[in-house]
Amino acid sequence: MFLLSAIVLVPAIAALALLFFPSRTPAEKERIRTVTLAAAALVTALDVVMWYGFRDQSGSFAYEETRSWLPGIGSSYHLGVDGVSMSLLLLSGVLFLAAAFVSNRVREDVKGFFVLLLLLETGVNGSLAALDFFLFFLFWELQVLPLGFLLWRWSANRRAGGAWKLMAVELVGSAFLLLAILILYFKSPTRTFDVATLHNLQVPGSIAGLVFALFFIPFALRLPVVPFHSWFSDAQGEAAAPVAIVLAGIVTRLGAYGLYRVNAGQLQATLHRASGAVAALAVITVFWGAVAAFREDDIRRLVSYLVVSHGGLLLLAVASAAPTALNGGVLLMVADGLAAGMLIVLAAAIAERANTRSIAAMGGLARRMPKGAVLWLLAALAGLGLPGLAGFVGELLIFLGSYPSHRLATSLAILGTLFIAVATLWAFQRIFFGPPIETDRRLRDIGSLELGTSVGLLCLIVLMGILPAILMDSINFSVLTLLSGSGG
Amino acid sequence: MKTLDNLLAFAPELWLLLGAVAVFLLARSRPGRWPQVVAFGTLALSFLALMTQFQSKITILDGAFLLDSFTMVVDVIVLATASICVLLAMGDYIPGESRGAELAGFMLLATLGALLAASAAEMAALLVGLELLAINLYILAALARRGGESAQAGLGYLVLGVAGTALMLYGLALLYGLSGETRLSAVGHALRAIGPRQPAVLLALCLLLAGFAGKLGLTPVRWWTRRFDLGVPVPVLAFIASVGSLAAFGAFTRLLFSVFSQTALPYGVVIAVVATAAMTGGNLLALAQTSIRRLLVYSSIAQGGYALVALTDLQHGGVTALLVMLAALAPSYLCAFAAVIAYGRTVHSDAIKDLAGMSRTTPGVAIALGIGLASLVGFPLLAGSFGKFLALQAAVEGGFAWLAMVGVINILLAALCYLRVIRVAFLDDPVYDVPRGRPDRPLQLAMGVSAAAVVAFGLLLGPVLTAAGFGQQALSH
Repeated sequence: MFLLSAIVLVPAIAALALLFFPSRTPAEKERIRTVTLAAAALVTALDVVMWYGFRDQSGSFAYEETRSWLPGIGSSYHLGVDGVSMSLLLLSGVLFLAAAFVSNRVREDVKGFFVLLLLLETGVNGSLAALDFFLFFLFWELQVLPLGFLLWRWSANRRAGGAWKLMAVELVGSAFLLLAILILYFKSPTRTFDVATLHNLQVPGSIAGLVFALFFIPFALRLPVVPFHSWFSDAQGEAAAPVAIVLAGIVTRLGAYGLYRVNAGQLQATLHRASGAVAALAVITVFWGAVAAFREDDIRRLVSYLVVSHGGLLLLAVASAAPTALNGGVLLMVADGLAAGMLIVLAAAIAERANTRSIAAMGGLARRMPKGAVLWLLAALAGLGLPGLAGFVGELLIFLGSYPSHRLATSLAILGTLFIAVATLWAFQRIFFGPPIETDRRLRDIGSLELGTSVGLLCLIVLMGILPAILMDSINFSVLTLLSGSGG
Repeated sequence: MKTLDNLLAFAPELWLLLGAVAVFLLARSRPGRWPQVVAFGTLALSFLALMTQFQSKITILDGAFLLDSFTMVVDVIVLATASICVLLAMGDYIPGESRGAELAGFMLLATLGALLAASAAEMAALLVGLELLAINLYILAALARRGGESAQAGLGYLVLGVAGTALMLYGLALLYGLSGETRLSAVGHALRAIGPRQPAVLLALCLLLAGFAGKLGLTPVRWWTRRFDLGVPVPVLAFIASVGSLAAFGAFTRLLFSVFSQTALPYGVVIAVVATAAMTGGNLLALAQTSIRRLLVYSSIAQGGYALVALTDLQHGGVTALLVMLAALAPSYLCAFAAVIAYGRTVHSDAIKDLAGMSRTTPGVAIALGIGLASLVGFPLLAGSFGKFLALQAAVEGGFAWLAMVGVINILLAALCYLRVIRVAFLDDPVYDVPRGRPDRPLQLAMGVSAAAVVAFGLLLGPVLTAAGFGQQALSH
């Protein structure tokens, strides 16, 4: 089977092909965007094929591909998915497709933009599908440079503080990740990078704490956790909308994916010792995000705090290491990615129409942009976890799963979630109601492109809310397998 | 006579000697591009001559020189590196200037010295090889080309080099005094009999390491570099940093393996300490530089330190790691140096801030620089990453897990210092109105070949590892 290879490599191949396209006239630029759209759509279609064929409910890896590659250092080209990574691959496909759709506002250096976006997709899909730590690290690094360049070149104000902070954070994170992977590698008797083999490795107690911390730091930085979240909100404030969508929706969620797979799955014993601290960090993140959302005036940064706050919930699920909570976490990642993508599309559209990003300067937009108002409300409710929409099931499962082991933390997290709900609704009220803004221009409602993208994402959100089982069963079996077969 | 048997095994060296003579003669009668073309051809001939002796172990002049797999691997890397350096010298030509035909001749002689040093298995031969290399390097550094600073740079280098040689001689003399032998393997056997706790052996190791430090490119006391901005041309700099330290590493490894690994001396600790200092110091110094040339030179101290890390474990895979590391470092450095030369020919500056907008004015050069630097950082799948990885593995096998940690932290430091350059070159807006253009053919070739080697290293990892493994086996027999 070449399915996973195709999902990982199609974007990169498309990016390479794009290098040879001319990009001078508007028609040529449009063609580049069309090719990108086609590649992203193809990957999404392959994702759906993968999901459809994912019948194996033993919790083990499906679609495995193993090819000899660098035998000299014990690394092989080993790909495979379980329920968790399959769900996130689906999310990745959808979000990159949405990003390609709404990237019509990118005017400057179009070719570079799409090449980097496609490379980023290969990096994301590769690290989700990799079952070899060397390969995983390679794809993990492959995300950093395109992302940094995308944030730098195509940011709103060319200051790009977010790009620098991202580079700094990722640099430190990569060093820790590399160290952690190398320690596992050197501790394994056969000297291999294979994830499945290393999963059964008994990490000696003396260094288990160190390995845990070395894995935890890069993943938590990516998530992001408070107090290291400012790279994310800066980047979200500055980035072009398509970049912001994939950054908030899937790239940061890879941090949670890493925490689930390695810290909760493989290093469970150490996690039990550290779970109090992790839970505390989770609660702080939930609350900080909520409070910051209350105080935030920039509409784009507001969305970023919603994402930060929900990252805290994902961390809470890790702290509990309960199957129910981890199931909910995966579901919440998918739901949140879709909702955040929608909110970012709308926020960018609103900020562009109103010619300001300051919420205080907006008001009464509901009459001018009724479609925008309705969609924003739906997206916000989806992000909050309204029953019937996707986020609800995820949040509920996290709270149910983590309450038995972390009663206080879970209660506080529920409170924090309420805060963020209030903050989002309050922002909705300030943007769309109240005294209308004075503007000499006629405010147009959101355009058909944004409308189409948002409605598409909304349909998926509703689908996930009504039928979570389409992903849930495979996720559940994988989480159970992950938690049961742990070595250290 | 047995002593004079196998002299034909010197064929690669003899070709180089002949070539050098031809180049010097040509330089007088036809000072155009021809001497450099001849030098390039000579290196190719020498390479072919070397290939005819593939996988055979030949003792020359009663064991003074040893042509085994280890020598072969080092020689191949040295010859390939030297050829690219000749290409660089060909490309670094400013109209109206003398072509510096002698440069190629001295490069050939220095390469000859490098080959001799790499195959030396006896103290006097070792010294002769290293000095033949060093003297030619002094001359290369001092060949006045642009401004009067070259002489000063060359003099500074000479003083430093001679001091290093003196320290090395002290070390060798001590070893001779302790063992009464000059052949390296015999010295090792004699020292084993002396017993483990002999402080004189430790002193000898320290003296040798201090003497070699300059030749390995480990000394931050390269104060001659302060003047090389104006003086030493970049191709020569690249030659000194690559061929010079390659040969020194080859010679030092053999010395270490034949002599010190036979004793119970904790040589690993000494090397680990020096490696730590070189890696950290080199990276910190490189971080503070504002000139890309100096950044490359100082970071080569750090890379030398990394190569030393591989030597902490001579019993298992250390030598393999070192050889892979050297094979990976050489093209990475040459790629970066070639890009610096090509860009310097249009901008006439080597300040890092003047690299701004390089990706838009000269995209090919910018990509070559990016590939070279990314490989030096140890970006996965590029050449440098495999060398670094095997060096770390060697440190862990040798029982120096802390050294591996230091190594990983230094990857971070190095990344900081190279990323700064990449940022300026790829993201900043151009400062100057740089004319778009392509570099000269030889520079294009040099950049293309070395960048291809860096990128394709992963594909060739299997054969490279096998060859390096032969090198390791050759030493242990």
